[in-house]
Amino acid sequence: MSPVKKANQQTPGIRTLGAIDIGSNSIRMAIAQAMPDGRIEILERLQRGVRLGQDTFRTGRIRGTTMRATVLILRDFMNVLKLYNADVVKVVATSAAREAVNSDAFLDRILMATGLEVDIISSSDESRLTVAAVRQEVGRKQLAKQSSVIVEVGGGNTEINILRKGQIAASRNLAIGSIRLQELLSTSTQSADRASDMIRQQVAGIISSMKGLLRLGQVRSFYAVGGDARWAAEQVGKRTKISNLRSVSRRDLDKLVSKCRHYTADKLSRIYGLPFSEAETLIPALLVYQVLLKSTGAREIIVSNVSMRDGLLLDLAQQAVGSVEESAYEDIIRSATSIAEKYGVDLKHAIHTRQTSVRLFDELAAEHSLDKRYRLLLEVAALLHEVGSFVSGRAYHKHSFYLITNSEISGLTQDELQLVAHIARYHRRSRPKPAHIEYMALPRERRLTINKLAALLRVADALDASRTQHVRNISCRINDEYLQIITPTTADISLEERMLAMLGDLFEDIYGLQVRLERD
Amino acid sequence: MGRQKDIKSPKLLINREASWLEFNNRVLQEGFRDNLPLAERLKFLSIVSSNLDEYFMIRVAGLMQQHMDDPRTLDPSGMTARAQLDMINKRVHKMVAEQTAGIKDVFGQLARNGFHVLSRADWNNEQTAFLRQHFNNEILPVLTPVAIEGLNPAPVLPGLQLFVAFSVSMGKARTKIVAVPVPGFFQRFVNIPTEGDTFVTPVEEVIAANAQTLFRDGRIVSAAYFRITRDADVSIQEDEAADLLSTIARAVRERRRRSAVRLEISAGAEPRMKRWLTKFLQLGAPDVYEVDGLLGASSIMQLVDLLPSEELKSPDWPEQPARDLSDSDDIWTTIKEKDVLLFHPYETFEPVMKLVDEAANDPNVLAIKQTLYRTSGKSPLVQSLAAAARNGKEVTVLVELKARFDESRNVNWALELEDAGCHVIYGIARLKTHAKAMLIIRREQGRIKRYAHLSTGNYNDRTAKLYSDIGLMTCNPDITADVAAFFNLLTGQSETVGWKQLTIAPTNLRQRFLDLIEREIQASTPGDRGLIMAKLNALQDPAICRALYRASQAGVRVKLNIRGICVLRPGIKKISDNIEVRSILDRYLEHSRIYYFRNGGHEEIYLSSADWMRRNLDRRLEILFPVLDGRAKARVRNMLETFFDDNVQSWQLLPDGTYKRISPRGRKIHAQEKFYQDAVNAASAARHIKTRFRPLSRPGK
Repeated sequence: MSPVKKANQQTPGIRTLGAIDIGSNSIRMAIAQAMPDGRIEILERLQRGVRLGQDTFRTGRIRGTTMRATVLILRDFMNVLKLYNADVVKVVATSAAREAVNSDAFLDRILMATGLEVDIISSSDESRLTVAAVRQEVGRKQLAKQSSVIVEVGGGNTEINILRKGQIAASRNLAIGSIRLQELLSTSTQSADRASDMIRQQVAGIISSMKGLLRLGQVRSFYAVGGDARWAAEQVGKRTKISNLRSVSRRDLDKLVSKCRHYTADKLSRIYGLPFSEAETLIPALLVYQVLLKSTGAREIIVSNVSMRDGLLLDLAQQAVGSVEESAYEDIIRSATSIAEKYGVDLKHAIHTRQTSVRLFDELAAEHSLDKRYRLLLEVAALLHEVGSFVSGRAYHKHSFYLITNSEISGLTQDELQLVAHIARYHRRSRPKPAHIEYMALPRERRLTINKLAALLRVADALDASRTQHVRNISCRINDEYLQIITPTTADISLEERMLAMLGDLFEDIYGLQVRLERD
Repeated sequence: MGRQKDIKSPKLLINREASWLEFNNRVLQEGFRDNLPLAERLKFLSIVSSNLDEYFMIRVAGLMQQHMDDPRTLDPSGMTARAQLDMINKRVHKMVAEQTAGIKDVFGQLARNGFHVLSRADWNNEQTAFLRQHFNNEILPVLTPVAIEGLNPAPVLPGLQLFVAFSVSMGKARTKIVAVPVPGFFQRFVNIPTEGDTFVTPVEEVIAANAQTLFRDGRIVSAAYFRITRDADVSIQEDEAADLLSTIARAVRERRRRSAVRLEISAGAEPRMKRWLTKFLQLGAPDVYEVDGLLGASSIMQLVDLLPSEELKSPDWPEQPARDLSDSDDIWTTIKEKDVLLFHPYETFEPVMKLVDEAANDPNVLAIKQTLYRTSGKSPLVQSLAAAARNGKEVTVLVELKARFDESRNVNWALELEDAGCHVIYGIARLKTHAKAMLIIRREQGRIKRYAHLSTGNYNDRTAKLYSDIGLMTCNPDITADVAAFFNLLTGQSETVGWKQLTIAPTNLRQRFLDLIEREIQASTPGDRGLIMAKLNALQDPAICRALYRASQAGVRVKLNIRGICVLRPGIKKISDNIEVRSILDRYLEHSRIYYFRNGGHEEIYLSSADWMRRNLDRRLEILFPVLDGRAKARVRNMLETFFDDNVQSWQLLPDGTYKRISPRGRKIHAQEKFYQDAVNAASAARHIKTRFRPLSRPGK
């Protein structure tokens, strides 16, 4: 028999994606295929317990044995991915890795042993991804009907997202997590009843301190994601009109909790066939849901089967298909604009610069060959390039750099935010130099991208040097030597011309073209 | 709550051994049925013996062990191990006598039909001379007598081996017992060439008659036949086994020397010989079974092939093409259009093997995953899987080494598959993988499509001709996702992540059944009674029995069709008066497991690899899967009704634990025959459809 070649034909549009999430209790993976219409079909879900949270939340660092276990699991997962010839694989880690003092060593270890690059994502990213996944499952319209909250009690943290009219109105990440609470339980000598009262009180205390902020009382729909909530729904849940959602009434949740809270983790795992690691944190998690539910106006918990990983898959699918979902795009721009506002930048200038840089980005697509995602990052950088002047007018580009680095723009990853900060930093004065430590710490490819984008931003900024927004409706002509920017304006543009002569330097080096501003 | 207490009484459960003995008795009774062809009767009488062999090796051995370790423990029906052993002994002695009489009766009738099974006393001179010649030429060169008396250490006499024992007087010395193993590679019956009628005689009689040449220095005083059954309940300490493969190989070797649990010896054996063997094997008097006929009667099955006339046999039921498939269509397309239900052996097992073979050679297939448990010798499946791996596909095979009596055979395929590049898993620690599942991952125009085959029967093309099983091919995404998750669980690549359609033992299969029964109780009203129908091989789990009693008390009708053990007592007032238990024994071994729940009109039908036994629910990996496709569901529903309508091969369980044959009133309904006829009709209808004329258009157009 002659060996048959493995199929590898690809049809444009359909992509196989893998999303791995290194959480505090377990590592999970979802494999899916993204259809050209953006639909996602889940192929497999995998899960293996590894207790990063126990390490981080108890001792602050991830132990060697836990790292080894993580690597072994990731290798197994990669074998499953291999079956499907996955096109894109994204690995993210959440609070347990984020908060560990040795998180860099942990990520290096994974990279060395598996070749997988892990992104540590911020809690705001977690929120955004979870909300996106729930929004997809519940439906935009349904979610916009009434004020809702989306809650995930994780091992380390509890994510609370308040939605009004379907948009995120407030997000809070509370340091109450089932593993942290379970730690508390296991060290206390109290009876099960006293211990659960203790947890209730602690959770209630934290929540009441931010009542004004979250206005939980107005919430009418309570959505829960996560394994513990799913377990509760399997036990006492009722089907809802939306096929994958189940609801658990206050009463049923109370009954379930009072039935189970006397069980030891061992017994829970035996009776319900749960992995021990899950059984251990089940009761603390349910107690948190119980307290939260009571402080809202909702009568039941609606349990969704989706998770942050599904949000991640949506992201990957959108990237793979090459489009940013409209509302996610708007969320990012809105969020960047409100940060710019907060720091009192000249918004007219910022918005104009954004428009000009986008124009340049599109005109020069063939030269820089960067994808749409970078167009968005350039827009954000243009909106934020002057935020540093809030601190001081002197060398404000440097202040912009750290202010952006420390901002949270939900929808952007930590890496992307860094990129934005660098682009903004180099919009004036010095070009990137080997003496700039943060810049040199980046891989070569990243540095090149920064140069490409910062060059555009410098030109765009120069084109509004007078802050009058006179240079508008530009068109471009490119030949072997020049980039001609043509504007129909009749106003005085001498300042712009002079600034362009100064700031066009980087552009000339990177794109090999001199920039000329001409009237139509 | 008096009721609750009632259903927990041990008296409400039939002893499992008693129920098994009843089962084997039903097999035996088939051997006496005048209206069955003689060949069929021979088969049933043969099965009585092979059943008993396995039963002694496993169950009796286990009870003996339990009696030693833990004599006071009571089984769910309230009996000690000793009490059960006594009951078994008593019953089996009677059973063996009956079986012997049955065989004699069949032999007598065969003789009237020109087929003579002769014993030594029947031989005429001519025949005696032929057999002496035959002995000298064919048998003598391979005989190895073993002196068993007075040797230290005593030689090991392997289990299930037929021996001819001689008491030999050596000159002036005492007589000695010498055993001659009857070589296993001989046919059990020697054909004596004659014009006209057929004459055969058991090979051990030929040896006994001519053995004097073996003992030049001694004189044969007497001869007898005997056969030992040994404990084969090997439990492998997996945690200690660094290398499972070699451990299993060793365990199989050791099985030869495990303690004896039964001695069968020919009636009329010299008392001294019998006493000596009993003592040598450390058995008690009740463990010795005197047989006034053939020992190891399972080999009378070999006679079926020797029968000269087709009239003595049942009409052949050739397997039919599957009605849900046609040769011309692409199998992938067919499965995408609808679920494919396969009803073996009425419908051929071929498509299952073809599916794997096509997958192995299909460039679009990325991966194949499959469980193998009791696969046949040179299984085409094993060859296809190996080919798939050589073709660069990811092939994962779970070979269950712990499949009883098949361990050593399984080791061989496992190595063969590994050599080909398959990822082979040797079972799961402490659990036997009994589930039958296959998954194929295929890329079609860039899109991943998955196909699953799930079945109630093993991936064994040989038993698929004898066992009645149902298989399902589907690409329902919920089911294929669950099957993928099942394999991730098996390979240790993932923990359970929540099942969409399948239920898995030992995780929560029992709970699932209890929930389904409970739901039926809740949905049942006097005006609209609930209905549970189940067809399975054995019901032994006490929790399920009690749930069914509760269902009966709540007015749910419960119809069970259980081939083998059933410890539930039906028809007890206020406990189980709504429960009816039937049992079908027929030419094909009833092996499918079907579970039906009326669910207030939203009927649900499931198929499974699992019976309602503790071992299935606690110590095995099993799958319960729903039949979702409307057509397939209706078909399985019909099958179920046919099983319960049968009045030709069915028995009814009575409250006292015994069974009564159902006698046809009115029209005779023979389930297996009907299934065969249905398959034939469907196939001929399909052939009819195929011969369609296709007008050609003008050439050159």
